[in-house]
Amino acid sequence: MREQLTEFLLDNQQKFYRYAFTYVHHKEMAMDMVQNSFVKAIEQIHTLRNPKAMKTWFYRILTNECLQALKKAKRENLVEPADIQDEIYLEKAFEPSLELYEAVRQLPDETQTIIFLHYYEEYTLKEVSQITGYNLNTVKSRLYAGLKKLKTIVKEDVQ
Amino acid sequence: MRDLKDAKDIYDHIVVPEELDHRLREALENTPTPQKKTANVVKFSRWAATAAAALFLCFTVGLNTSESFAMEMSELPIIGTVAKVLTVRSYETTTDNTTTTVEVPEVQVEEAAAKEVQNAITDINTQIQTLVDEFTAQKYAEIDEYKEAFLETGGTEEEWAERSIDINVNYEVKHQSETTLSLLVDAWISWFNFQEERHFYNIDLVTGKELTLVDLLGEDAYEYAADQVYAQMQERIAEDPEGLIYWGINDSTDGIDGFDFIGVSEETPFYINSAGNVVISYNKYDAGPGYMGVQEFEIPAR
Repeated sequence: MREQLTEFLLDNQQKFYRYAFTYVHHKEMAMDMVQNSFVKAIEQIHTLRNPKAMKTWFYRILTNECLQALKKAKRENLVEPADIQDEIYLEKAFEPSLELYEAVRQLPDETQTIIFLHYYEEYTLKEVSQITGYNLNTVKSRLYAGLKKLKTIVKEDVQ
Repeated sequence: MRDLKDAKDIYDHIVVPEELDHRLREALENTPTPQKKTANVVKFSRWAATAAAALFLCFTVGLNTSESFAMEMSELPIIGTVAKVLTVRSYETTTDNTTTTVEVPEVQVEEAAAKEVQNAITDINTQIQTLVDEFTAQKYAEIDEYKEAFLETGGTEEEWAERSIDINVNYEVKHQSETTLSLLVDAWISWFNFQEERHFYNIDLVTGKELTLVDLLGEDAYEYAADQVYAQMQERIAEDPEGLIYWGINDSTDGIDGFDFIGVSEETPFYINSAGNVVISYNKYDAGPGYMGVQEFEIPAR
């Protein structure tokens, strides 16, 4: 099981890094978060009974780590939502609007998590519920409240 | 909220620091596995047996499938006596870390066919050729640009070579009869994300022209098809209310701006299936969130 887990973790490290980075927008912090999650995964390997559930199981560990790190960072004023500490590199030919991406970062932490998992990582709402531990209806109501809020933020920016 | 696709694109383009891999490997090496209890060991070996059995099953099914698939493929290209679809260009190249696999189809009609039909078909073939050439050229340019930036931001040639990129163009005959041909040309690239372009060619072999939904479903084709799609979306959600989301159909998305039902217009991709029916085939992200993938709806003949 350990080999299987190690392989899974290393193979998907880039995905995990992007996910962690999206919370804090800080390179060093994001690397720490992924690293801590890896160590926790190995230490808690006995809680993984079904290898098929490895992905959601690990995202649960990673998400907890990210939410904790984000809270700590906010407490210590390391993260200001409007301030991207580390520039995101984007292809030159590629210029999507940053507006909505930035707007998402103004939502409550839990709602951001739902949007990251559902829209960026493309998990179904059911899987999001398994990863976050919120029940499905909570996931849905937070998501739709969040999307409504996004609309308002984007509109205000335009005006 | 289709704009969230932009946000996801940004997410997919976040640059991963080169030192990450080394750091994580080191951390993993320095973390000892906690003591296993006997119960866990037993459980695991039982799992291994099931996994091995499942693997064997997959293998057998795979063999059968590919055999019938191969037979089907050999029968596919001949379309009545009027036209056939041939692979005119087929190649696979590997340069650097990029593998390109291309199969370009060409529609051929009998020499006896009317001149205008021949000309119209030639136009379509040219369109397909151009499409394939432009797609591959554009993707190569994007890869070059990305590589340049990768090296500028501290990546090395060795690290670049480790990344694997696939470009693929292939086609599929969806329907064949003496009067109609429906063809899908599918072009995709797989690297830090997956991008796909699908182009459908629905050809009237009598006139050589491309068929529209109005040709196939009548004057009010768009309203008719949209009603059908709407009803089918509702049925599917009723069957799987937790798993599926269509913009504007689920209660939770209905009435919120930007969640409008996608509808059907002259831009909507479609093909004709083997039964001769129109199939509306929405691209990923268009009818619902990305995890839903391509969504298809067969429209009953009138």
